[in-house]
Formats: sequence, structure tokens, C-alpha cells
Amino acid sequence: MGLINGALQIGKSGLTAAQSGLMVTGNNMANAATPTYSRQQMYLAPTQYTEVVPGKYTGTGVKILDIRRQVDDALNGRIRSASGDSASNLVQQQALSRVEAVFNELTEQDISSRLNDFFGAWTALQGKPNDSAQRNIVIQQGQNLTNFVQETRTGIKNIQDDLDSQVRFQVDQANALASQIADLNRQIVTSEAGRSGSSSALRDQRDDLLKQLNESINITTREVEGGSVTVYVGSSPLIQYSESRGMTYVEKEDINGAKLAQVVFADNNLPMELTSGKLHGLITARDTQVGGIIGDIDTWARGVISEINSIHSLGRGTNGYTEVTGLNSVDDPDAALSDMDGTGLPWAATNGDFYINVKDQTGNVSSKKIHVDVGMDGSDMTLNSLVTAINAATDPDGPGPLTRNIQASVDGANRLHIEALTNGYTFTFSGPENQADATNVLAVLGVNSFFAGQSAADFSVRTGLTSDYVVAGNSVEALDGKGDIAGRIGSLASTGVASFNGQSISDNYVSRMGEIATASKAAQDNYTAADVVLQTLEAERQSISGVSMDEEAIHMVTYQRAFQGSARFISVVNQMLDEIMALVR
Amino acid sequence: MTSAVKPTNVARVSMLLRSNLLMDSVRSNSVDLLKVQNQLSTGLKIARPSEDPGAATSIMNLDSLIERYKQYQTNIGQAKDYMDQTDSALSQSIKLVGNAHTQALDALSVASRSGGIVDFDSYIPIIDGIIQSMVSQGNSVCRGSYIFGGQNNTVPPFEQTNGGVLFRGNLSELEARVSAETQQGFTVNGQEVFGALSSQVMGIEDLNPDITAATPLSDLNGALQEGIRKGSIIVSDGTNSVTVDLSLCVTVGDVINKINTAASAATLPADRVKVTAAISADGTSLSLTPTVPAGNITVNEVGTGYTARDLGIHLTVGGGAGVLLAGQDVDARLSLTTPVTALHGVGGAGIDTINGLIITNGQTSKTIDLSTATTLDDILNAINHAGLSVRAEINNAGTGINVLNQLSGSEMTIGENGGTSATDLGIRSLTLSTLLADTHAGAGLHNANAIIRITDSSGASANVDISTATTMKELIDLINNTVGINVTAGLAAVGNGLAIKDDAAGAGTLSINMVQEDNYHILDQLGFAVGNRSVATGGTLKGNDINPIMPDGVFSHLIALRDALTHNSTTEVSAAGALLEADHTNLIKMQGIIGSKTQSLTTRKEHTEENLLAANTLRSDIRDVDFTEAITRYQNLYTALQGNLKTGSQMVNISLLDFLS
Repeated sequence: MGLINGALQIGKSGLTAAQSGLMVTGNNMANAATPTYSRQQMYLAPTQYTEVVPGKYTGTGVKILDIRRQVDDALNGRIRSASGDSASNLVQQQALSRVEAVFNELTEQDISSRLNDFFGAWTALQGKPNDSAQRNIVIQQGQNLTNFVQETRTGIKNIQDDLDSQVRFQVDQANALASQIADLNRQIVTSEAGRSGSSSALRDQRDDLLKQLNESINITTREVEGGSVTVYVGSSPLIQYSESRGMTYVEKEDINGAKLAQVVFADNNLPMELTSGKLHGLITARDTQVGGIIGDIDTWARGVISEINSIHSLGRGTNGYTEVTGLNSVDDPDAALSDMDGTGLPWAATNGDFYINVKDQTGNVSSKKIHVDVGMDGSDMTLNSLVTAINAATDPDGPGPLTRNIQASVDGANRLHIEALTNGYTFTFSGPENQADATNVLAVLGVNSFFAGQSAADFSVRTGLTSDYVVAGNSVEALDGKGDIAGRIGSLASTGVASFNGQSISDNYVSRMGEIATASKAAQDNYTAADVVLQTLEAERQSISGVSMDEEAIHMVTYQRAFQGSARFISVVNQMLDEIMALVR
Repeated sequence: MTSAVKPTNVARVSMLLRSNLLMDSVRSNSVDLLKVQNQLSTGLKIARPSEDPGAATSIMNLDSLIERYKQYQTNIGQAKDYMDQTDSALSQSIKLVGNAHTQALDALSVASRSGGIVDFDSYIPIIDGIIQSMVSQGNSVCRGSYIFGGQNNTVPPFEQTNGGVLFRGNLSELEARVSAETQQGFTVNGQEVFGALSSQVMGIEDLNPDITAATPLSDLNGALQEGIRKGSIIVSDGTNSVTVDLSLCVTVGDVINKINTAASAATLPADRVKVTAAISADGTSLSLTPTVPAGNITVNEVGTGYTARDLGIHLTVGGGAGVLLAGQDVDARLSLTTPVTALHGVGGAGIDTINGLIITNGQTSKTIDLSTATTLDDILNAINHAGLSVRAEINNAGTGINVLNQLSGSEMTIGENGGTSATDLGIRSLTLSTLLADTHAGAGLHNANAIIRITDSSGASANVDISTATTMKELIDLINNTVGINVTAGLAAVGNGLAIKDDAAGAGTLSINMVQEDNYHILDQLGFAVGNRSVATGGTLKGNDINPIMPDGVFSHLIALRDALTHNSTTEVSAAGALLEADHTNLIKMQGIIGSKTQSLTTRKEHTEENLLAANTLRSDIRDVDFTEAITRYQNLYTALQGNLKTGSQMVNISLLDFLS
């Protein structure tokens, strides 16, 4: 009886094993297209041998040793880190190609084309300085340029803002992922209850979440006893067992003064060390790349404003001023104009001279030289001392055939204001014959300037600049035909300037564009490289964990045959039982 | 096809791996195909700078270069228009002047045939018409600008006024940028073509201004006459020394401030350089004074600089303890803001601003008041805005003032108003040093064999042989040194001209007469017209200025011809005719110059076109797609995609399951 019973047990174990095997195969085949699925494999072993006759043993069937996920944990770790790199690079590449699209270079609608048109207009003005139409063209081209620069900056700023909101979103998402992982940790530990690795589905799920989290931030994981994983960001733990410290963001000002989100641990607001992942990519793109480009275009615009105004401010249009107020306020009228911290302006005044030319009703012109002292006697000129110097030189009560009837003052907003006191008097500005002797103080204060603004954000043609006040020449004699200033501005297209360390305005712009293009190309290349690594690793993972239908078909046939065999065996044993039962009859 | 590289080093192929690989390769193939398709449809190799940053920056640089070349072409075109207009105005002018000359010859020939009866009245309207036509040629316009006005081209440069032709233009050329390095002038001024301004440079004397703290270094000729080459100097008091960087200095005051600040910069008083820099008492140089008795000042150059030498304070071996370093004259040039008090004047005693001066141009005479002038600018303003059609300006060398007559056909004289203002400023038209040969607009004083007889009020008379005099001073000295008469000759104290004062206090009159009939013009030539050759006792015989300034050009000559015709003077007509003939030649020469300038512009234009073509070709090489290459690549990619799809579809489709029944 023991024999028959034992034989039935063998058959039963075979049926169970084959059935289970088919189930595993079926499950594998069902998940063949599930990307995160790791195929399972059933491990069988013969059961304990039993003594059929003394000294002789036979097996008692088959037992299922294990049904295991086919995974390489080390490989999964590498995939996680590679996917983090890839995500980071992808975000940067996308951001930079958006920036490139905003600049729209190599087309007809870009800053460099407008810049060429702008300088072209000035060069043309040199040859026909008295042509008011050409003066208007200069203004128009100036507006075209500044509008485009402003639009470009706004476009890039929008990209930065968009990246910033993505950062905020990603932080929230990563935070949710961290909570889910902490929760899964708890479930896995509970469900496995000492049977390590038995909760395949939960683990697959957790692997997937870890992969997702890793796409957001650079994490490292360590599995601890009981099946939970501890997740670190840099050297600080983020998730320990069922607890996530949580992540959030705080507002921080960047180099351009924009308020941006900084990623921190929620429990203590300390910054996270981000080295890869989508968040790292977003932050790098937002701060270093896009932020850098905004800084770059601001610096460039500041240089352009300074260079053109320095020339333009020391010349005259077809009309003189009856009053003029500088565009730029200083923080402290007693601060040296050479001290950018003191004035709060982005430019420093240089040592040199300028002239104020006062014209009376009958056309007499009297020039007064104002010397701006910077770095000579230790006490540099301030806005207040400039006003004093102008008033001393143009003292209305002073001697001379012309009443020096103009007066300078500091207005309520700490700007330079100059006005003619008598009706019919006008004044203009001019520079010394030797250009090297000129001071840029009027440009710094925004007097008689062409451009207004202090960065690309507010870069514009001075409001109220009409063709009469476009400066074409540096002439105290009121000769409308002098076009030397227009010529000098026009030649800035190709002559080196101090603001850009001897590079010309165009060359400087082109080289900045070159840097952006190079950065964009580097981001593309980095992404491609990281993606190839990721794909290689993914292929490796697929090779280990992926489901092959052919293999599963073979398994299916094998288990089917095993099942048929076991069933047949039970039927034989049954017949044998029948035979024995017949003996009883 | 870089992106199509796919990992294949695997031991097992799962279904997802196969489909993923297929997907990736189809995707990358499609992306590459799209790029090539885009290149083929736009004809451009590079759509975004990041596709090839190096090429992109080259393209952008070339774009801006191309734009500049185009602008240069426009500028050259405009300049050529000007030149063409100038050429046409000159052709017309040549015809007009030729016609005037012919009219003069015709008038003379008619006169010679009519046996001494001279009536030129019929010619006057013709010449007047020519003058008017010439004025309108002088006011020719190109693109809204008066082409002969120089930089003052918004107002007509020539105007018929006060019986003359006034030139309001400016002599500076208009310039256009025709290449990155070159600005080419494309105007010729009214002076060159029409001789519209008096060419005589009057302010020959060096007014030698003092330096002040505000004097720009660029207005100094420097002790070596090389200007001021800015750099660093080493100042020592014999014990301590300091290097002073003067490279950013703009004015003399800056230099002094820099030296004084650097000298006292050391924290410890013992380490300071005990020297004070200042402008020397005579106002011509810098001086350095030791502030301690033992100070022995030296000033050295840094490296191979010239700064100390240019500033006139280079001293390698000190003069000894306590000795002041008196610099050399740094020779300041004049500028508009030079204070009147800084001017030494021709006599060296400063400028007489109290009396002022008298300028006469044609019929208009004005006294120029200098009493309120504080700067040179004020003096120039006073002269320029007196309504005299004269222009005062600083000469090119920055040493003196030039006063130019802008009114063709009118004589300008500059004299004193009882003081020395005109002399001090060096702008008196007739001075003691005037060469007699230069007077009368260069025709000279014909004083060969000239003897004049002067009779004073006491009746005493003497012959004065003035044939040996070559200058006004010699002429005056000859009169003053003549024994037997009691007169004082000199230049007029008010106005200008030779003045002979009667000192005899007799009962008669002071008179001047000619002695030799063969030189009967001499008294006229000395400025004493008939009727102005005697004056009552104690009076002064005042001659006219014999060295007036008049523009020596077409308009003056046409007006002279017209006046000669009015006077019915064959001599004058003949003289004016000769001058007009010379003008005719001059105008033809000018036309030649314009022609060669136009030619050079044409060459420049061709050159720019070549450059433009080269830049365009280069840009095309970099930017434009090579269609053969692109099409080949397209074909390759298309084949690859085909293979991909075919093998992929088969591999994905087949499974063992197909064979299980």
C-alpha cells in the first residue's frame, strides 16, 4: 500500500510541478511585453529518496525549490545610475536646443542680422549726416535691435522659468516616489517575513520606483536585512525602511537676481547634493547653462550700451538741448563715479574731459571743458562734484561775452539734470579732439545717450530720442554735415572695444553664440553617449531578465509533456490499484 | 550614422530586447533621414549652430562681413553720385569761366577795333549772368546736400551779397567708410574749386599759451616736439623714490596730482618722496620742488619710455640738495578753451583785451570788443559773429589764429583800435614785418626808383628814397630817419595802413608828393589816394591798408571783370581776363582730380565686389549642402531603413509557437 500510495505521491508532485511550471511560463509569456518585468524561473529538485526494499532507494517525486526573478542587482544599480545621467543630459540638451531656437541664429531673424543692420545704418549716416530720414533709420534699426535682444532675453528667461517650474514639479514627484518606496519597503519586509526575495512583484514594483526616482535624483541604494532598501542622496540617507525624510524646495536668488527653487531635505532644509538625474539636469540647465546665457546676454548688452553711449554722448545732433536729465540714478551722489558699488551703476567713469557747448539766441557758441578726475589725486569725481564743476565752468554771473546760462543739478532721483536758464539758449556736448582724452561720464549717467537700460532686459533706444538728437558728429560749430561720430559708431562693428577686452561688438556676440552652440552640441553628445550606455545596460538587463517567447514555448512543451507523463503515471498506478482491488473481489 | 550604433554583446535575446532594438534603430534611421531630407529641402548643411559650432561662428562672422561689404558698396555708390554731380558742376563751371574769358577777349578786341572808344556796358549783364550761374553751380545739390559746402552742407554755400559772393561752407571733407580700414573723403570744397576763401594765412606768430592745470596733454607739443608719450616715470628725492604711472592722465593737472599723490602715498612719513610738482612760475613748464632741504630730485624714465623727457622733467643726476627741478618748455598748443590770460601774445606781454580791434570787409567795418573775452573761444566768437563775413580759427599747428575772408570780391583789413589787440593776436593785416613785395594781393609795392617828397607843416620838405625798403618797417624807418622834416611815420593806431604824423607844429600843412613822374603810382600804392595827400598842422596823413585780404578765386575774378567792364578799363579787363584764364585751367585740373578720385572709387567698388564674392563663396562652402553628398547619404540611409524594417518585421514576427501544433 505504501508503495502505491508513494507512487501516487510521485505523480502528484509531478503534476504540481508541471502545473506550476506552466503557470510560471504562462506568467512570463503574459508579461513578455512588460518593460519592468523580470522573468521568473522555476527551480525543481527531486524529493527525498525512500527505501523500497531494504538497502534499495528510489525517489519520491519532484519538489519546487524556488521560483525566482532573474535579476542582476548590480546591473540594476548601474542602469539606475546610467538612467540618471541620461535623464540629466536629456534635460540639458532639450533646454539648450530651446535656447538655440530662441536665438534663431543662422536665419535672417536673429540678433546678428539686426546688429549688422544697426551698424550699417550708422555707417550710412556718416556719409549723409544731415539726412533726417537716415537719422530715423538709425533709431529704427536701434529699436529693431533692442526689441529683438529684449525678446530673446525674455524667451530665454521663459525657458529658465519653465525649467524652474519643472524643478518644482520634479521635486514633488520625487518626493511622492520616495514615500511610495518607503511604503513598499514596509510591505516587502512584512510579506517576505524572513523569506528573502519571495515578494517578486513587490520587488519589481520597488525596482521600477527606484529607477524612476533615480531618473529624478542621483540615489544609491543598499538592501538591508529583511528586504528593505536604504536610499541615499550623496552621503545623506533619504529613505530608511518605511521612513522618507522627504524633499522640498526653497527660494534662492541666482546671479541675475531671479528667484529660483533650490532642492532641500524636507526635515532640515539642507541642500541636497545632486549630481545626476533629471533634477540635476534641470538645475544645471536652469542655473549654469540658461542662467549663464542670460548673464552673458546681459553683459553683452551692457557692453553695447556703454560703448555706443560713450561715443554718442559726446557729440551733437541737429538740435541742442534746453534741458536734459540723465537716465541713470546713482545710489549716492557723493559716491565716486568710478565706484560701481557706491553708485550702483554697472559702469565706472573714466578719467578725461568733455565739453558743454552753450549757444545763445544769435548763434554764439561758447565751449566749457569739464575735467572728470578719476584715479589722479585720490578723490575721484562724484555726481555732486560734477554738478559743482559744471556750474563753476558755466557760472551765469561769471565773465565772458556769453552768459553761461545753464545750470546743473542733482534731481530727486539722484540723476544729473542740466537746463538752460534763459529762453533761446541751448546746449550740446562734445568730446576732446583726441579721443583718448574723453571721459565716459555722460554715458555712465545716461546723458545724451542713444541707448537706455543697464542689461538686456531693459535694453532700448532712449525714450524720446528723435532724429534731431541723434548724434552724427562731434562738432561744436553746429555743422550738420559732420558725420565722424556716426562713422565711429558704425566702425564698432569691426573695431575692438574695451568692454570686450579688445574684441569687437559683433565678434563678441558671435563668440558668445559659438559658446552656446558648443554647449548645446556638447549636451547633445553627452546625451547620446549616456543614452548608448543606458541602452547597452538595458539590453544586458533584457538579456538576463527579459522574456523570450521561444524559450517559454520550449518550457511550455516541456511542462506539458511532464504533466502528461505524470498524469499517465497516475493512471497506470490507478490501473495497478484496480488490479489489486480486483484480487479482493 | 553614429546614433545607429546598438549594443549586441548579449548572450540571450528576449522579445523586448529585439523589439526595443528594432524600435531604436528605426527611430535613429528616421531621424538621420529627416536631417538629410531637411538639408536637401533647404539647401543648407547647418540648420542650427549646435550642429557645427565652428562652422556656425564662421558663417555668422561671414554674414556680418558680407553685410559690411554691402554697406561699403552703398557708401561707395553714394560717394560716386557726389563725385558725378561734382564733375557735372565742374563741367558747367568750366564752360562758364571759359565763356567769361571769351567775353573779356571779345570786349578787348572790340575796344581795339573801335579806335579807343571804350564802352563795355553791353558785356556787364552777360558777366552778371555768368556770376549768377556760377553761384548756382556752387550751390549744386546731391541727395539733399550742397556738394561744395563741406560739412556745412545744409545751407547754400554761396550767396550773392554786398556786391560780392559770400562763402558759407566749411572746408572739411565728408567721409564715407569704404572699407574696414579706410574712410574716403568724397567732397571737394568750395575753396579748392572756386577759391572761395582768402588763402592768406594771417596768424603767423606763435601766441605761445601758458599751460594750466586744465591744459590737455594732447595739446602739448612736448619738450621733444613729439607730443606727450604717456607712461610711467620714477621720481626720487635722493632718499626715497616712487614710480608714478601717468598713462591715464589727460591734463597737466592730472600729472601734477598723480605725482603729488604718489609722492605722499607711503604710510610712514620717512618713506615718502619729499617732492611737490607744480606748474612753473612762467607757465611754460612743470617744476618739481624738494620739500626738505636735503632733497636732491631726479626723475627717470621707466624702461624705454619717453614720458619724463616729453614732460621736460627728465633729470638723471640731481642738481643738488634743495635745488628745484625746473622743467623744459612743453610748448602748449592753442585750443578753444585756452584762457586769454594764458596767451603770451606776439609781443610776449599778453593780449590787449581793452581796446579791441577793427575789422573792415568791403564796405562794412566793425570794432571787435574783446573786453569780456575769457577764452580764445570768446575771441573767435567775437570776430566770427560780428557780421563781417570773416572767419577766425585756430591754425592747424595750434600756434596762432587765422582770419579768413569769406566774401569774394571784397577786401578785408584788420587793424588796431588804438591799442595792440590785433598785433598781440598776430592777426593785423599790415604789420611792420609785412614784405612790400607781398602787398596788394601779392602784386607788391613797385618802389624801384621811388622817391617821395614830404613837406611838414613848418614848410620844411625832404625827399625820401624808399627804393631800398623791403618791409614796412624799413619803409617807416626810411621816413623817420630822413633829416630835415619833423614827422613820425608808423602804422595807424586806429585801423590799418601807413600813418605819417606831423610833429612840426607849423602854420602849413603836412603833405606828401611824388618826385619822379615815371613812378606816378607810388603814392596810390602806399595807400595815399588823390585827395588824401595833405593834412592840417599836427594832423596825421593816414594811408589805406595796402595789404588787404581778398579771396583769390573765380568769383573774385569774375567780379573784378565785371567791375573792370563797369570802369571801361581795358587794362583791368585784360588783367581779369588773364586771371580767369588761369581759373579755367585750374578748374580743368580740378576736374582731372575728381576724375581720378572717381576712378579710385570705381577701383574700390570692384575690389569690394571681389571681396563680397569671395566672402559669399566661402560662406556657401561652409553653409550650403553638397547635394551629391547629401543625396548619396539619403540613399544609404534609405537602404538601411529598408533593411531594418524588413529584417525587423521578420524577426519580430517569427516564434517557436508558430511551429507548435
